Amino acid sequence: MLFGALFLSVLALIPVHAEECLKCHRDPRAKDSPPQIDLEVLSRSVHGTRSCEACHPEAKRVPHPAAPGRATEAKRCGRCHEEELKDYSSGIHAKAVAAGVEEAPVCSSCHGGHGVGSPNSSDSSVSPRNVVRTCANCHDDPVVSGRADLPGDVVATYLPSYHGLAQRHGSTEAANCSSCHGSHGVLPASDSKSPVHRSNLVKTCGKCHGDASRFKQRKVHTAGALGGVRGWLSGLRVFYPVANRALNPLTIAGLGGIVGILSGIFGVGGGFLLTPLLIMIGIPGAVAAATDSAQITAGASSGALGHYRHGNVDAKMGVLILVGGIVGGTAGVQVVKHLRELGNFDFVLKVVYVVILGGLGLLMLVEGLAALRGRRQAELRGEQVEQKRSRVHDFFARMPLQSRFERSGIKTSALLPFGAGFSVGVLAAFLGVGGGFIMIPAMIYLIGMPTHVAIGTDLFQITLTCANVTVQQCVANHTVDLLLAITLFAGSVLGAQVGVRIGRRLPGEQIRVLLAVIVLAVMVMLLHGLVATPDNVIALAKQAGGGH
Amino acid sequence: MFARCFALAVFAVSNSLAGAPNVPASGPAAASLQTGLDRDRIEMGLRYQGDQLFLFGHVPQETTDLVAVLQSRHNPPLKLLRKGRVMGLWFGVKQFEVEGLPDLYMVNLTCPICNGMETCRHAGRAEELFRRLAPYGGAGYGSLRRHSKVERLRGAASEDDEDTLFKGIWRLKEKSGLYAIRTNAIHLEASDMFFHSFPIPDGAQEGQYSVRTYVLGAAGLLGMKEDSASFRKVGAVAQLTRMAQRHALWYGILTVVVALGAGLLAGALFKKGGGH
Repeated sequence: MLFGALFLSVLALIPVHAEECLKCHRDPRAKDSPPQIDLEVLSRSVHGTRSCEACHPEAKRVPHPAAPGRATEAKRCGRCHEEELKDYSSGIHAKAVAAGVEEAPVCSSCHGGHGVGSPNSSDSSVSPRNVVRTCANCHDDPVVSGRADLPGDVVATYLPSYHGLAQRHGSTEAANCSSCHGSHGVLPASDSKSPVHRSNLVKTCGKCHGDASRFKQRKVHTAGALGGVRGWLSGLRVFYPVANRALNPLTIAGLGGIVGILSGIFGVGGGFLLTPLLIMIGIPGAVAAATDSAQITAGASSGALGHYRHGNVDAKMGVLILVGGIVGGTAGVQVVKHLRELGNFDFVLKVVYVVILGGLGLLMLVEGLAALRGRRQAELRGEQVEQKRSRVHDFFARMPLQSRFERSGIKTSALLPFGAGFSVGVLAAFLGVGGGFIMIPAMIYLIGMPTHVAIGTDLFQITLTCANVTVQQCVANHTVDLLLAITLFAGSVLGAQVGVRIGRRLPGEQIRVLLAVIVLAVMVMLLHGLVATPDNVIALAKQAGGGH
Repeated sequence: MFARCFALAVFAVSNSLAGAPNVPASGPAAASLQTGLDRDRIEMGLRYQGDQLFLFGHVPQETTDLVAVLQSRHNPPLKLLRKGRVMGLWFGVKQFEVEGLPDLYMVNLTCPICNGMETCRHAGRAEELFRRLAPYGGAGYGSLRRHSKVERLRGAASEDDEDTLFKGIWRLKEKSGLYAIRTNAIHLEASDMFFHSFPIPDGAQEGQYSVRTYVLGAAGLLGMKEDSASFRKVGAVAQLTRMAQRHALWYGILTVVVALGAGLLAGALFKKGGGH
């Protein structure tokens, strides 16, 4: 009864002359042919009181001529909606329809057919609440997007944006598709007349945001904002689990590569350079220092293998230095632990570091330059260049436990490499670095090893030392980030091989001069850190608990 | 009126005792306050680059201002150094331990004039809003100071220690995106719906987070609602983190094996390349 009354009231809204049409187009026996009209939908439409002929003039004749088709639909609607037709005709949708693109939208694609609603009605397919869904019918359909060569991610990137989320949760003011792209005359972003063309963005965003010039010039739909390989590379980020940071892996691998090259040339681990670089790009200090030891293991092992092939690794010497280094390092760590409790130890260490590096660097630079000059003169005279033996070497030549080190071409007491390793181990524990750039000069100037063998042997002992440190850091501090280390390896192991090749082409004197320059540069960097006024006088010391 | 004053007084006392706000949620105004998060779980996978926590809701008609505070619930103590200049050189002269500071702390505020759309030049309103919220637990820099405890571990005490310390901490955290006060960050629509979001930096830690939304009217606090969200590491990120923490020795051995493997493999590959 109630249904009947409802039906009658709906029927009462239909214009009288439509009744003739409904005889066929609302025939319960017919299925799809002729097309059936849903009276309820029609009654809700803003066109519900219009006659059928207003939109279908050709239908006056019976039997009806062939339907005019999609291409002329806009013109038919435009008889009443002139402004909209003008706007639509200038847009990409109309052009696509004219070009015969089957998926291109006509008026009814967005507004619906018989159920055209007012844009202000919440039911309308083009109301602020529904317009995204309407546009998504095509722009989020992979088939349509593929056929029409449309970017496939515009809806997927809009939805999680601020505007998209506000829309989803009921906002009627947040920007939807038509707020920025326009409604009828939609143009591609590449068209200078488009409201989303780069040159018009400030004006378009300014409709809501006033002074939109403060916005960064980038697309709202963020995925592939730059497009192509460049966009992919710039957007590439990996979240490193222990570091708790998202960073571009290519940047990290690049840093690893640079340090690997230095490692290969000079035989240093590169920790003194890599740790501050990692901190600079946002890795927490504790993670940078700990992960560095893992990457040095990789880089040094790669470099050591390269040097081993060229006969530049004195394993016997390396093991003795290593044993000395482990004993010295262990003793040093204990001493440091006690000294730290006395306070201001870090500062004292930095000062010691600056003094040692400054002295060592200057010494190496002067000696290296002198040796380089001497080499040139000797070469001019056609003589062989011999490295001078130090007084320390002469002293240890008279000490017990004499042993021959074939690769290094020297005979000395085993106490010398052990003592050198011990001293550097203590120093390394004090200074918190691998000590490569202290060990190399010690090997060259104290023990009297040839430069290339000193480098190869140092890489060998660094590999073993840092492997031990890596495990210790994992167990004691949980600060090694394996994923970060792997990314660094990718660059450093390749860099180390390149470094070995570069190093082979350089004479020992030149390498010593270059290493001296790097050592002095590190010294200057540290000195600057001590003298320059910090941006913030408060600095994190260490998480007291609960951290990683 | 008396009942309202009494209720607020009871609330203020209980708040000061408990250290957390407990705003009366009764009356028509409180009833029409509804808040929600877009999602209550942020997943930190390999592709995580930071995120945004989107909030929305409905406020009473008499609302003039909203203050939303996002903060972490897991707040480990912080050890900090205060640097000083001695004989021309800068080094840590004092050490402090601060308890009760959240790892992440962000405040979003409305500006009725700009309503989240224009560049706001009314930042001064923030302090006024924080003052109005003070009886209910408060928000902002002053509230953080009040709710934390400082212990000097090393160095001589001086009057400006705490001031310098808190300003320094705020700057440190602000630089890494973990602390922020964002005026004019909430958009209030004509329909009394509000929308805003907190930008979550990639450095935010795993754990539970709460968002308190305070609604203010001309007469004072109209209501407060609390929502919570959890930030969780997932997939390979979670597995590696757990392994690093719970199976540290194996994790260390694995790291060394991978490091040596990578180094030696690169060495072998270069040999095959015929470089020598």
